[in-house]
Amino acid sequence: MIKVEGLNKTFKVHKKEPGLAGSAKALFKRNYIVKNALEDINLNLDEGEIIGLLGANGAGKTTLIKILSGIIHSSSGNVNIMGHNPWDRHNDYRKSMSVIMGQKAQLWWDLPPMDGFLLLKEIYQIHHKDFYESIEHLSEILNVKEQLNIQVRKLSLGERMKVELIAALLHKPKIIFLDEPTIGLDISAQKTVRKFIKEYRKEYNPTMILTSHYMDDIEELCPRIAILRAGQKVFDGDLSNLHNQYAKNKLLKAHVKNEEDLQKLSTQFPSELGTIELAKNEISISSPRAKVMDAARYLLNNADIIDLNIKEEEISNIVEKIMMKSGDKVE
Amino acid sequence: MMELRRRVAYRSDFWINFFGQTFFSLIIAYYLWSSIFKTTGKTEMNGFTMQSMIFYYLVAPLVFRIQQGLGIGFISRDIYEGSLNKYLLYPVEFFKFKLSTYLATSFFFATQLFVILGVYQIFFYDENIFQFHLLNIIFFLLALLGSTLIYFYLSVIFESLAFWYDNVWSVGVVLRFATSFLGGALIPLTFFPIGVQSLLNMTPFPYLIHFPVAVLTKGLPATELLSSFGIMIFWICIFYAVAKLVWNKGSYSYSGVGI
Repeated sequence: MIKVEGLNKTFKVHKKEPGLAGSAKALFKRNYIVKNALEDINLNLDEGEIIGLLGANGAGKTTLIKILSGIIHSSSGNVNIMGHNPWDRHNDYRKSMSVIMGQKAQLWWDLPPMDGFLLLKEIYQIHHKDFYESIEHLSEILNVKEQLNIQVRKLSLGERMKVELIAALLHKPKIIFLDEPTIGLDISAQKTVRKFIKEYRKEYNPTMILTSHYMDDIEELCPRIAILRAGQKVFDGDLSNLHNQYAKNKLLKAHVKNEEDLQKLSTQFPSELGTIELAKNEISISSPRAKVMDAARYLLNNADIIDLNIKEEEISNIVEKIMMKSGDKVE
Repeated sequence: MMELRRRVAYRSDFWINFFGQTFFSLIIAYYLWSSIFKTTGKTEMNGFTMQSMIFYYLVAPLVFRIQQGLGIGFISRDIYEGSLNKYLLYPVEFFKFKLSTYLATSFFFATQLFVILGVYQIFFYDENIFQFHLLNIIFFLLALLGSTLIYFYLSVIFESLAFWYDNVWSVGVVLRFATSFLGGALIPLTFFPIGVQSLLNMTPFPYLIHFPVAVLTKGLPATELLSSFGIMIFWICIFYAVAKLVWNKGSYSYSGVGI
């Protein structure tokens, strides 16, 4: 469905020295720096699959989406989506995909959403009956029926995102690129949007690429994720594999009944079972996966424990680590 | 339709535009030219009487406004702000889409012109200056359409420079001033020296304002109409081809900022 091979994108950016002198100098001679936005990206998606694209700001997520949707041209590499090169901007391709950008409104600011929908109906040549059925159906689920005839500029951020979703889905795209669909929304609106995307997927089974800064979005919607760092893909695989591959330790937390035990543990806990930290009457131990049970047993045998907790490292922490620090490239 | 709705969505803007632009320029022209006619003591200059001069200044700025369509920045703004992205995603040709909104705006201003012409016909009727001849009106409309297309593609070329340069607004202002001066919106072209006039005739400028207004007021002979429309089509084709070329090159280097 989506096949990306050896994709590269470089940008030439004009670098201006600060101040008036810098501006004057730039009139005659300009310095450019070449920035690698994407490097050797390979990606395959099957029909109906959904992938979460993660990365820090400037990692190249949006650039990748812009290339896949045909907005910008790649510097080199191949992209094949349903037999089309997006850059050709073939109408068949453009009719079968949709891009939803949380940060950028597509609907016309000065007009009510319904007027915008009507224009999209003409642009995508949507059948009259299908059009009104979709509007009815989608606005019902998203609960924005009342907002359809109010100027877009007067809607709240959450309402606007919901009508944007409707606008992007009217023509029932087979491929959907979602760029930060929940950005800036409050928690309940985020939940509504996530629930909507889930239901929509169940009903229409589109292929989807989702980027988000919120791990909740990714965890709830995407069984598979890809992580970009400085334009390179550093992880591509099941979200559940992340723990096995990257979280080498598990976290043990224990409440200890008396001070004596606490002191004893802090000095005598075997270092091969993990590293120990003390806080009041609680201890936390970061222990290698294979040694977790040994560490737990040691605790129970050598101290009076009131409560014991074993936890996986938070996914967001792992992802953050991969995004920020250097690590092995995983395919 | 959308563009029209958007235009009338702001009623005060509609009326301020309507009265402000038309009547302020008319008042300035009236005082300027009446003092010129008075000091020279002539009743006719380069084929214009005081009355026909006023009529010219009633029509010429509106004709120019009609050609301006969406105004300066109608593409460059999209490029700078990244709203071009959505047009690239739609399964329509960008030029066609922009042209239709451009023409809708032109149509909107054209209705203003015809309201004014109607008022003129009823209250200030002077058969030497302007008469409602159906044929003249039809040719005038065709001339308006042609000149609007020339201006559209000409500005597409300059607007597309925004792919490479950070601020093309000033280029737009220069273009607007140059076309209004060389096209006859500021002073009728018959006031230019003969040599300059014949030079200008080799450029597209006279076809922007001078020609449509002449068609409306004088009703040109058939041969002149035919050749003028021919030349208009020639310029439209030239500018269309260049605009397409510049656009294709530009959109290749487009970086889609702002999303």
